[in-house]
Amino acid sequence: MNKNKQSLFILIIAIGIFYPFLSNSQQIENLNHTPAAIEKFKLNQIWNKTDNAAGLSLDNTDYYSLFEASYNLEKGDFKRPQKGLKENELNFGTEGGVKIKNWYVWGNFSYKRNVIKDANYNASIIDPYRGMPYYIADSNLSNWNNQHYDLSFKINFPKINNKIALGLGGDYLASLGAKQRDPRTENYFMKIRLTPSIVFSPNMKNHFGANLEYYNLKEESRMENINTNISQTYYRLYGLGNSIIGLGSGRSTNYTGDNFGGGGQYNFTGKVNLLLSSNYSLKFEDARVSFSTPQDEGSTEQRVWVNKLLLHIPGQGQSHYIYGRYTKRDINGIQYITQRDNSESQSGWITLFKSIRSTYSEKLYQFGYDWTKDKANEYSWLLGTQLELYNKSDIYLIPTSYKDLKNVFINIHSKKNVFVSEHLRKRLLIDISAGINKNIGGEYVYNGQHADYPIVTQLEQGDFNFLTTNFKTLGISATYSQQVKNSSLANIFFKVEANYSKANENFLKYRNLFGLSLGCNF
Amino acid sequence: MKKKQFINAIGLLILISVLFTNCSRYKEILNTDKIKLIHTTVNPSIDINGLESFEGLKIIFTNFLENIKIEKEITGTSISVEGLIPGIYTIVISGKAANNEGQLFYLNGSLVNYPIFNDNETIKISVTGLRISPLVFKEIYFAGSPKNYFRDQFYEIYNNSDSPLYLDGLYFAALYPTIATENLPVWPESDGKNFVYSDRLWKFPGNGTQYPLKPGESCIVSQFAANHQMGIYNPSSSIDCSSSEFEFNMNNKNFPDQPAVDMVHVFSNGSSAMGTLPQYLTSVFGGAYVIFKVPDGVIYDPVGDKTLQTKNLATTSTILYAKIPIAYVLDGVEAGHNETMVKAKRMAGVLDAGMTYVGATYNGLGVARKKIAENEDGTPVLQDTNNSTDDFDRGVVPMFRRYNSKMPSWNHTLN
Repeated sequence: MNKNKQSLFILIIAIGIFYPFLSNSQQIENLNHTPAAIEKFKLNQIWNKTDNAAGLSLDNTDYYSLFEASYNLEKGDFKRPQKGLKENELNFGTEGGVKIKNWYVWGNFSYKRNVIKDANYNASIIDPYRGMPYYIADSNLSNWNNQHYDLSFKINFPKINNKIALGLGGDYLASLGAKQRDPRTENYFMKIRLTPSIVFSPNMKNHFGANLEYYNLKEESRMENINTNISQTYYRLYGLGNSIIGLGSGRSTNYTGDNFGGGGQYNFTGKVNLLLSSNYSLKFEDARVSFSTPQDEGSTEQRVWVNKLLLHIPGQGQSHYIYGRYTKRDINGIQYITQRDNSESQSGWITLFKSIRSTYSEKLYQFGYDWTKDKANEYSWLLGTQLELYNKSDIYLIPTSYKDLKNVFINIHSKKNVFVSEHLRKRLLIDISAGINKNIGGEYVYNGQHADYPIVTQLEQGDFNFLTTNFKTLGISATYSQQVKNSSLANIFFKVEANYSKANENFLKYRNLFGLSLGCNF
Repeated sequence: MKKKQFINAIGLLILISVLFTNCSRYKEILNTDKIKLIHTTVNPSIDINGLESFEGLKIIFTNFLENIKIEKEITGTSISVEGLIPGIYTIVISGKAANNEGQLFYLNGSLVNYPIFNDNETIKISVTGLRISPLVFKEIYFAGSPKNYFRDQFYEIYNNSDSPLYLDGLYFAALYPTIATENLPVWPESDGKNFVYSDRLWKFPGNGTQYPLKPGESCIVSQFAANHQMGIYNPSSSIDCSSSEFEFNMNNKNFPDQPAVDMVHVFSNGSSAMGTLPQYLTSVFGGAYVIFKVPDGVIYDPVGDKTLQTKNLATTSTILYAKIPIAYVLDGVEAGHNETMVKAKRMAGVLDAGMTYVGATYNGLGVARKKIAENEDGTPVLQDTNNSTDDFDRGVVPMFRRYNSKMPSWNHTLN
């Protein structure tokens, strides 16, 4: 993206975020912006949970704005092998939505600094779980220092003939990551996404939407050794434990990808607010070694299908929210046979052959129900449950290795919004949640080369162990909030939260999280 | 307004062209098939009179990246192999075969790093009589010791024959590139496959009969022939090199000349001068080493004879390399980082169809040629199939004169 476009992009988002700060918050006196009120406001927004910005005008488009700074500390050995034994996160985020004449603009900016301590088996990619199997792993415990910047916007344009609405959504995500021990890497990740959309409303109750999706991503990984006297052992990964051992300082890898997608929505608004949504996307991503003389290392072809049902049933002093989602992700992993052209023509790396060597499939079924006992624009109680069924099936075709697993997760949660005082609208929001994960089957069988490599015995087997472990999780949080002054909507809050997950296995024990947040809703 | 429209049109065209360019790439990805096992046939050919049958010869397909090794015996004039995973293979045919008159030949033929990805492909391999060298590299220690110590590198050369040989005038070289890489230099096309290339040549001293090596004897050539386990060097070193017969003395006063006889420097960048390097260090990842003998009556002078020099045509570098005729080479051994670097071979398959390795640097480990039998005097008979992947034990703690090989009588420690 050139500088002019980037500046325009940031300007649009900045307007969305900061307009409410600049506007007169006294205009709307019957609202309050306690944490529960903002949460309830978002629960009621049904189109905002889709990629269709054109439908935002059908949601409640009251303005709101917030910023939040938080610090989270997470530790414990009940983790995926590439997560850190200890991680801390510093977050700063701001978000806002505002109606300007017949336009509605929503924007979000977040910054996250993530320090991962004693992570393993990842030496070349910021997020090893993003569906790219071709990267470098090593067996040296190392810290990673990552930073993530996320800018998002949604614009709802004025309606045409009161029947057609147009919208545009966009995200710009930039991440920087650096592994701190040899073989180390410095990574830059960028993703820019646009989602133009349209909604046609033949009448007041029925609304039909459609959206397109395009995003481009790029990640650069440049590995090196600071101590050049010691060559490091590393592994080039090809999926499910297949790897090629290397010795030295690693490599430079250039990941580039494009995603094309589209979706449709149907919304019925009446006594209930129902939204059905379906999105399908196709992503291609190449991993090439070296920037100067590129060598095809691998490619992925990813298909994602997301179907959603959102149902909001408002009642007398209460509301019901029903949520269903089906996500299916299939990835074909393509490997290349290449040879360097060492003739006088020096045409670099020649790709001789390519084939699909591995496939990765994930299905996730999610069902949720929330009930709120409403009080003004807040709730006094929120009770809910969520059920998830997760199915993973990965295959390395020849020699055949596979990893299958099925999990069921159930969660119950309750929130009590204590009205401490109406003076300055003092609130204490207490949230308790509990969940159980039950594995209902799974198997990891490796028949490839070098079954003794730690990539098989530690990384893949360790990941399988984590993913198939039964566990219980308990979370609690308390948020105190109050208005800055009676005549202002500005509502400051302080939140403390803790979460504890206990694995039912001897070799994996626990993971806990402690978090503090401070913020303000406007 | 027209200008704006023009800019918009250009922008649109660029966008469309970018999309279409990528579209062809995506079409390629979408048209990629799932991998299938393939079938291939190998037709060996041979030019030895009266030898028509290949029965009894062994054929080995090795895919080092996939760690696949398929071994079969040839039963006719060709052999079919089913169930190959498409990839880069080294194919070696070897063994003994008799001609019509009952004369026995040791045969060897190979294709190194040959891509096989078409189903039902027929591959031709030329098989020749195997060059069996009387002198072989017996043990090579290149990786160095803990604490990044590399001065204890050594090369042991063994008389694997039943006749005495003279080391005098033999050459030693590590081939270029010094480290295994798939980015190979470009050498003159007119050289064909007749040469290997080195940035530095050394020669054994002697008047022709000064340094005999009897059957079962070995000599050691060290980078620096000192006791490396001494406190002033590196107590972590695996080896005491003070009993070496030869050393590569680069006149470094910090690592002074030792009692071992100095090798004679022959060539570096077109000159016989050693240059200013403080030591003769070969890659701690593993080099490609040759010993070669110039035939009697032939003058080999890569300094004076410019036709025996070349540049790397892939670069603009002016560094000169010496050409070594493959026909002169007695033994060649290629070492690399690990097994997967066989894909990056520097040495012709006729000299070494494989690669040996220790898998790390500065780990204090070396490689030693396998013993396959024992002579009456207890000295070893070493394996030499021109495939160092098979011929060498890897990751051994280095030692001099393993398997009871003998020290030559002229070793300085005996006098």
